[in-house]
Amino acid sequence: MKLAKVKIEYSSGTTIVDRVTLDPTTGQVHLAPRVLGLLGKMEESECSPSFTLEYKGHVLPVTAHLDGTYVVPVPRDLGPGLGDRLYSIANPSKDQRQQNGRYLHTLSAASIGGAVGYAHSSAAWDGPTVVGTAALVGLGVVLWYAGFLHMKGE
Amino acid sequence: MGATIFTVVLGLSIAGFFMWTNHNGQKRDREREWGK
Repeated sequence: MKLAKVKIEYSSGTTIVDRVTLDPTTGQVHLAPRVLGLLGKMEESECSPSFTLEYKGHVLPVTAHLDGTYVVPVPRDLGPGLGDRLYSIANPSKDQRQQNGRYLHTLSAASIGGAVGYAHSSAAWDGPTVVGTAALVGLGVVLWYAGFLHMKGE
Repeated sequence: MGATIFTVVLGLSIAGFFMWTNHNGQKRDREREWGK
């Protein structure tokens, strides 16, 4: 049995947040009697809520069965395997996105600095020098803009 | 010229990769917010 956080959101704005026990092998969710009582009371005056469970960073939809039990589809890749690590790289959190944005701004600054150094280090201002400098400056602008989009606050 | 092309392709690939992860992360946050 594991502890997990559940969130029950109604269309009116009422939100219930509680902790439950979860059986990771079967996906069965055990709610406290007070939460079951609250759900029954809310059913009298509310539409079906959005019922989700957060477990190890995953948000899973909770389904109510006819026999009164609640079940979640527990994904197989909940362990710290390679797939889980790749998933966190491909789906970064807000803070991680900001860090990625800072990294892109660092690369942008390096690109602009590289362009200036490249231009000054060449003996003659010929075609390849112009193209190389322009490419580095252009890349610096693109990287800056990509980093800028990462910094978008909510 | 080859070095210039390599630098541009590498830089654009890095920018493209992080833009893709940024999009994924924002999408995940939206879905989490809506409880999907």
